[in-house]
Amino acid sequence: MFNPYLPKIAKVKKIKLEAVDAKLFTLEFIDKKDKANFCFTHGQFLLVGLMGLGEAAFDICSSTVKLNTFELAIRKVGSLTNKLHQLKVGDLVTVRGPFGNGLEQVKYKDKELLLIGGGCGFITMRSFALDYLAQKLLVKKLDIFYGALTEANLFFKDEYNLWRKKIGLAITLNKPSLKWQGTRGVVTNLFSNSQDFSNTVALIVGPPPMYRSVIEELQKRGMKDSDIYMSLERRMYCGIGVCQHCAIGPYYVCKDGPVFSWQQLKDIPGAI
Amino acid sequence: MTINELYKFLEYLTQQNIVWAPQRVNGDLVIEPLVEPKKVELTSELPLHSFKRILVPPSEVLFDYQNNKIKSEIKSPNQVIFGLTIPDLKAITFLNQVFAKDPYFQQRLKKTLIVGHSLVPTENYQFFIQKFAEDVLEHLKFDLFFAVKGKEFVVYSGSEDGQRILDDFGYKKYEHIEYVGPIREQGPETQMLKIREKFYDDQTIWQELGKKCTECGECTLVCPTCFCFNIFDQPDLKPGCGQRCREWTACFYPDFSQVAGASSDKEKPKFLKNTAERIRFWYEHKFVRCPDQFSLAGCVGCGRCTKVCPVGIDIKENLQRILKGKVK
Repeated sequence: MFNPYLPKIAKVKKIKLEAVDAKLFTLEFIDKKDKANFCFTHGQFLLVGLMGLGEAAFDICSSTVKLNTFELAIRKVGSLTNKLHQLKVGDLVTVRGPFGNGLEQVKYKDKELLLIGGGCGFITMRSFALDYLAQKLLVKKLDIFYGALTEANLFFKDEYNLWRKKIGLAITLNKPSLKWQGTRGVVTNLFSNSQDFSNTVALIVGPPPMYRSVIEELQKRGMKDSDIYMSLERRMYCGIGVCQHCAIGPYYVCKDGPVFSWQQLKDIPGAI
Repeated sequence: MTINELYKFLEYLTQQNIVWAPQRVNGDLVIEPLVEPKKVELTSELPLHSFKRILVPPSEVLFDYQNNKIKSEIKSPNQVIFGLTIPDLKAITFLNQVFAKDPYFQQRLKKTLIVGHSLVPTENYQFFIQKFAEDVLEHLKFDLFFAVKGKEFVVYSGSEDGQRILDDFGYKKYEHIEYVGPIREQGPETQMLKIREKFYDDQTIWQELGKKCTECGECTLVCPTCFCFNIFDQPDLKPGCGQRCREWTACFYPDFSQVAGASSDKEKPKFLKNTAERIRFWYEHKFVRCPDQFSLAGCVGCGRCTKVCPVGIDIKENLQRILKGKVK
């Protein structure tokens, strides 16, 4: 019988300092079979860990089509992530997954796609952006709204110029330096009156307080509840809908999510 | 089978297995390994602590690690759980669905002979308890079943393992009942479906229960179907070595829904923010998620949770209130 609790082992191939408290890790499975079998959908996550410290969930932020290696951007927020930040090239981590439902292409095919990321939520958007640049994402148009705290917190800064050739990337900073020329304040400041979202699908990923205000802005501009998707964060252990930690009403974030539509969640107390 | 034959059968079982059976210790009915067959107590009374710890241990090793080498050996002793009532057999049937793909549980169940009997619990804090009837048995996971008939027992086998052990013991007068899965032909239980349908109608109940509940978690310990768990690493003294384990937890504990995020001086973010949300979560699991996932309630009506609750929260009363729906 398959044992879902046994992790695969991956090696750290590359580490890049991404933001003041975040690093981008490029990882590769040690076992050839694990490497060959690996595939994922945008928005799916992995349970990555270190022996002795346990596992935590991370969204994959690399391309879904170039699968020799995969990438995770990890902010230092707790004991496991602190230890992950001390890893060197060649060190090993444990990996389980990918888990759950991401945002499959059928949900936005031939429509416009708007990705709204707050803080770490922006990490998830990179796999969409990379695939779009490689012409592997079947959308009419891709826009990304990104709300961060300061310049120093921005993820993937070095890639913005390349992205902007094809992607509408709008950034707002809540506490920028005096030099900042762009939009200030929260992510909803990036919405304007001229936007029409009646043929757009959105994915929201960010801290919980952000969701309600963003959903309101999208609805005001004609977006249907069934076209508003969001990725949720919860504590999780098993990854397969058993341990109960990530449950929301009738759903499990690890198995039924992490990406849900607002249509699914709007009547569930405590979902966002 | 006569009672004396039953004692002999138990004697036979103890030769090669650990036989867990209800016994009276200091006045309390407990499930413990049987040493003296005549000490077994076949009764309609439910032991406060069920079989649960035998099939779903409070803590178990998932694998050993040595640096990044993983060693996983799934072992289980040969054992018998003897003297289970119908609600507890129902709980095993339910757990078998929950852990259908769990190699640890399945290995343990494979090595365990499940033996039930027909005495029906009748205490007044219990509810939706099924009486014994032959058509109940085909939906229960068991290896042997002893139906009480006067001073004797009618013996049923419910699996090949059950048949084999009776054959080996030399008892031939049993009937075989094939397990056909947990759901009856006429569909899931209607009471459960009604509770599911009305679950979100009256939200005031949780506020009230939230004020009462002390979050002690006793109900989750005695519940034969509560199974939620944490996974944690237990490092050895030898560097780089240790074990990944899982252990019981309770959704009433404040860290159950806690995630990483805030700095150490601030409280970490939680998704179940107060007692009201946590007690709703417990009921939601049993009466929303389990019915949706397995077409079975995560509750067998044994009433153990009501019996242990230090503040008198009564599950039967609460379900009746949910069934009433919105208070106008």
